[in-house]
Amino acid sequence: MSGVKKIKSIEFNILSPEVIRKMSGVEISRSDTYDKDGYPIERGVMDLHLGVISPGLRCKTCGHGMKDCPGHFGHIELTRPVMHPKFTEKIYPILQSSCKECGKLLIEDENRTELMRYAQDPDKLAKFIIDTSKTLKKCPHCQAEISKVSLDKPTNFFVDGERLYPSDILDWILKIEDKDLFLFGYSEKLKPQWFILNVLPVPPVSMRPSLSLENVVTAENDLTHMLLNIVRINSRLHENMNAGAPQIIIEDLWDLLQYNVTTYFDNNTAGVPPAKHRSGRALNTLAQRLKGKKGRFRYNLIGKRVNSASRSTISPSTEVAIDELGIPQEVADTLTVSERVTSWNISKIKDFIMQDKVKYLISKNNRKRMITESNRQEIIDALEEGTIAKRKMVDGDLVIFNRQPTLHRSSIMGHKVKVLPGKTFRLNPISCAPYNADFDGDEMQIHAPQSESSIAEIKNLLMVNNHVLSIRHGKPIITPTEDLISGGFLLTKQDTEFTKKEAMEMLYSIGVTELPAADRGRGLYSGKLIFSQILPNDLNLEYENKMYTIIKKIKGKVTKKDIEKYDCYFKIEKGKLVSGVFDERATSPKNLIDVIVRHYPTDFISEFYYKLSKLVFYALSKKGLTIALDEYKTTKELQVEIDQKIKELIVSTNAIVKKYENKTLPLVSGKNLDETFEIEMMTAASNVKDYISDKILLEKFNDMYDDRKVSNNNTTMLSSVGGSRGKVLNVVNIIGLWGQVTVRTGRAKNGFKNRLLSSNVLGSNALMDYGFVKNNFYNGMTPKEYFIHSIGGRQGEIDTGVSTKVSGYLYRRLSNALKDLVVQDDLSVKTADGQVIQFTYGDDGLSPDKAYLGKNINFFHE
Amino acid sequence: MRELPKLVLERIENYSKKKSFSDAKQKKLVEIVTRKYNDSLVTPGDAMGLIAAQSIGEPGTQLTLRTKHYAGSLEVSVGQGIQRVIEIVDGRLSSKFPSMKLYLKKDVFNTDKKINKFAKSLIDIKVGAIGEFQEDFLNRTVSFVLDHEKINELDIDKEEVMTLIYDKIIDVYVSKRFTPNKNGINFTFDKDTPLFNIRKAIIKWNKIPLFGIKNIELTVVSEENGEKVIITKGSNLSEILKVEELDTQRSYTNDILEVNKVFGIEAARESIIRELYNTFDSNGIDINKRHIAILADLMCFNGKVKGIVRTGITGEKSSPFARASFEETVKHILSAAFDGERENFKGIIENLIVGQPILAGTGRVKLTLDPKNLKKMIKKQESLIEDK
Repeated sequence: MSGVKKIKSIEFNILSPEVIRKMSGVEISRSDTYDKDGYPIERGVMDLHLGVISPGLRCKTCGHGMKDCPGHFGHIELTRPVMHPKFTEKIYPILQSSCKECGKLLIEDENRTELMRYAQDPDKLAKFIIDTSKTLKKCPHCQAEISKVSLDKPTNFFVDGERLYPSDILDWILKIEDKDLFLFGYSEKLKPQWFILNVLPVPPVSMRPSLSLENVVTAENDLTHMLLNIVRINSRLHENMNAGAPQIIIEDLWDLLQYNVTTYFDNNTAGVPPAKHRSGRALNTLAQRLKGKKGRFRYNLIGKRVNSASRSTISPSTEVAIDELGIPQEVADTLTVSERVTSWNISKIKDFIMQDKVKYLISKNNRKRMITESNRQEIIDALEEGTIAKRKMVDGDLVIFNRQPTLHRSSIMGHKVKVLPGKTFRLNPISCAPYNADFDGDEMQIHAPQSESSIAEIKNLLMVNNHVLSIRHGKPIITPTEDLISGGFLLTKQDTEFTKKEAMEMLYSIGVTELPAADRGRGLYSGKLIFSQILPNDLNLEYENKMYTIIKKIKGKVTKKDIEKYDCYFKIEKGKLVSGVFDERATSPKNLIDVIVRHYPTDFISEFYYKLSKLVFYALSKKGLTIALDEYKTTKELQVEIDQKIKELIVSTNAIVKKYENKTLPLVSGKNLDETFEIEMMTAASNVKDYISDKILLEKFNDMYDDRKVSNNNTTMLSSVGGSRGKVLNVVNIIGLWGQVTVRTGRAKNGFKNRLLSSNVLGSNALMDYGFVKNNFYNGMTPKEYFIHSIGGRQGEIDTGVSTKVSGYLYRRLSNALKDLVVQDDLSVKTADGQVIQFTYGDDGLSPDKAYLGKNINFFHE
Repeated sequence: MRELPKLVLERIENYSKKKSFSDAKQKKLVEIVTRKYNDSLVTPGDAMGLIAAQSIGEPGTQLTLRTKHYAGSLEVSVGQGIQRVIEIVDGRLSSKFPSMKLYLKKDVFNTDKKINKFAKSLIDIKVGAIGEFQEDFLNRTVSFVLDHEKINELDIDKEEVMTLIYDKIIDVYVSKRFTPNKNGINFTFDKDTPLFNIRKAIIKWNKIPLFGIKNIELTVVSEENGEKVIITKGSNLSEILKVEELDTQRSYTNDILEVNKVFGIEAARESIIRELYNTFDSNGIDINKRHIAILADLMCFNGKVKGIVRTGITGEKSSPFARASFEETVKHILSAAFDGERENFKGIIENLIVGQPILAGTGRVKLTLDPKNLKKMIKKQESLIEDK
């Protein structure tokens, strides 16, 4: 934007007393705020010279009212000098290495040249001087005795055990020559005597506003409290000195002044009790205002509050596409978008004004004009190009959608608005994954863009369609999940057929108006044929289905006959699904979704998903997808075998236990007896579970394709084989056994001495006594098993809690360190300071999301 | 347009030769590939550093929290999960889980037994590990007693051990040493030796190394692609490189700072990439290596391994605002004031703080629409249309 000034640089420096006095509007000397009428007391800490914070008053420095006065500094003249608590450590090395009497460095003139080596490094310089002056008893320049200076943090100096007051230090430092101070890093711009405060700046009142209710001041800011204290002590010290009070009283007050100044800068200084409010709460002073998560930097400067945003609960809807977002009418009417009237959109905007969609107009000469019933027609007639219309949101407007924690860039994406009835944001469940959202009460934000350039950015960079491939690994992350996968599986299964009426309904819903020829007997349409209608005509693709892998696991190899029988090889020829099913594999790299995203226009994917969900949900509601308890029953033979195996396991582990107790167990390489025992027991238990899993998988799998069995439509297995939800392991836990409970590194151990539970036999090492659960969910566990099972569950719960914390901090550190690295025009990566990190990004300049599996792009794919 | 890398051009040539394409067809192919290549390049102005940080930080919650042993695994417990990631990223001086993978030279050992024995011989064994010193303060004598179980486990010759210990323990206070018998050695001290010195001597003797390589606590023989490999707990790269039986070309340590010390910064960078990648990979998390590489490059570009901590990369940024907004706010502002630093608003966060456009992405380029020119262009277009 033109006319906006840019800050080129800011220089950090320390204020000298002269500057403090110069920039001060008023000297503060009264420890008061307001009088009875609530009017600021002159020379009090709320003096009108410091700016105004109440309406109606005028600033005495600049003459502006509350809105325009930026606030001005004042100052306090301190009766006695005090140390700046944050810079005592900078003064310390100077005192250590100079003579108290003459102010010269404690080094013989012939050694001075060596000092240059340590110039500008005060700590090393002081160390060098102290080391070399150890042999000296007297100052080489004035022959005075060398005294030892020590610092009692934060502010008290001692010389040879005696207190060194700030005024003494000031005298001392003034004696030191400039050329010596230069060695310590001081110059005209920075003098050490500035660290001994004679004058204290008073921040403007706008920086520490009083809390008021209906024009009655109810509470003062913490900083004001601190300033009141400082002024009060300062004037008391002044009075006592004028009255000639005893030295001890003056010193006490002086220390008190020092204490208040110290806590004014940082109320968390080590060794100093924090200054407290009347209520006992520690005061928030300057350092506390800046630092930490709730400090100025992280709370107000890096994270800023915004306008034109809205927040609501999200709920799912398949009526919106993945790059759309359903928003409530109320939100659409409240958030506004600016649209400039041009010759291309003038009629559209006139329509908007007619429909009461425009809130007000901003004319070329920056005048606002509200639209009311009475002036509507007049405005429409007078509408001219160049006017800016502030209008309500309508379908098709772009917004930014966001969910916290915003862990990666796809947690903020652009959506097209679709105004819908209801009060929630409606999101397509397919686009949940990058936000990590679900619908159990999650809330999300939208932000309405306010300028043309931000709308352009959303359109070209932020839209959901541009983020289907994750930049983390270059694989699709916005993919069908759960219901869409199992529904797609159902739709494309070999034996799925639809009547003509059904097929017509389905195809019409996806915009296909020409009915293809029926491909099955009796005029039926196969699911594969229907599915092919949403594929692009020029697509050729083949890959192995998940079933293929399972058969390979069970049988060792997959024959052509198997492929035919189980329909497990996905193949598309010229946009026709020839064989195989739509399953989880479609979302893997190089498979269906990946290919569609990479090789077709960006908008095609959202259209594809929209049509896919139409078809899938129709198929699901026609064919049904329910589970029955019968699916979780095993044949008697298998049950007997499982029981037999568990019995055998207990016998075999008892033998291991015996060997362990006799110490005759052969050791595993590199492990001791206890460790070996643990390994042996765990291995035995997991081997049995693996064996049982395989048996159950085989039986359930054969059931699926055995027409004689009632359970041939085993939905649990279907969703597992299709990859939509659940694994065979879950089935095993339901009908097989749970197996060994593991906590952290192995079997549960910590409980009582020599036993896990008080009900176990003392000293027994048997399998069942250390958390082996032989029952399953179907049969139910014994109380003991259930208890031990919960130990494992609790550990998982703790781990998630801890790991979010740990990884959150890791992420903060990483992003703070790496955020300045930007790719330059020549594809090199440089820091903000211009240091080269990489000469070509990633050594080949390729973007991670465009390279297959992190390798170089496969140029020969087409 | 950026030109294609030579290797790709060569491959296209070979491909065309194989398929016997005409020159025109080959040219066309080069054209297509060049276009695809340019489409795949990273966009100048992209804050790829931040994207790398997001890509590494986002899956952090999916990492396992603690070291996990899997049932029946013979592996040495190597750091896994978030702890290991943090350790690498911190660039700490010592690793909590140092481990080496040692490959054997071919045909040096022919039996498994020999390999096992060799593996055991690498373990760092100190005097204290295989026996115990029993003190008799009254007579000022100390006797060393062997732990037979341990000796058997480690597969060491008893006599050999005894003579070794006998030779190695030479102390000024010891007046007499008795020749070792089967069970131990006796040491007699001077009658006036302070008891304190005897204790001190024993503590010292316990730490005398006997066999093996320093820092190698444990070795396990395991198999990889049909080849026997030795996995160690503890790492000592410089000493391992001197062992003749080992294939030092392939042997590997996971201790990054040791790699840095022995092979230099480029090897350390490679090591960081490999270790981070493997840690994420073993947890089933896929991260493109480019993201990890940019992190490793940042950690190593100054020639030293620097951590992503408040004293490391972030603490050394030249911008006072960038430092203050991370950690230790007050300290950085004070030091900026003392040193008279200047904030130049070159980085991202500095501009964010003052509310200016950042110098990355779309904020880095300037493109303004000149309304006057636009009008001219529109008129031109319109006249063209009319002409037609």
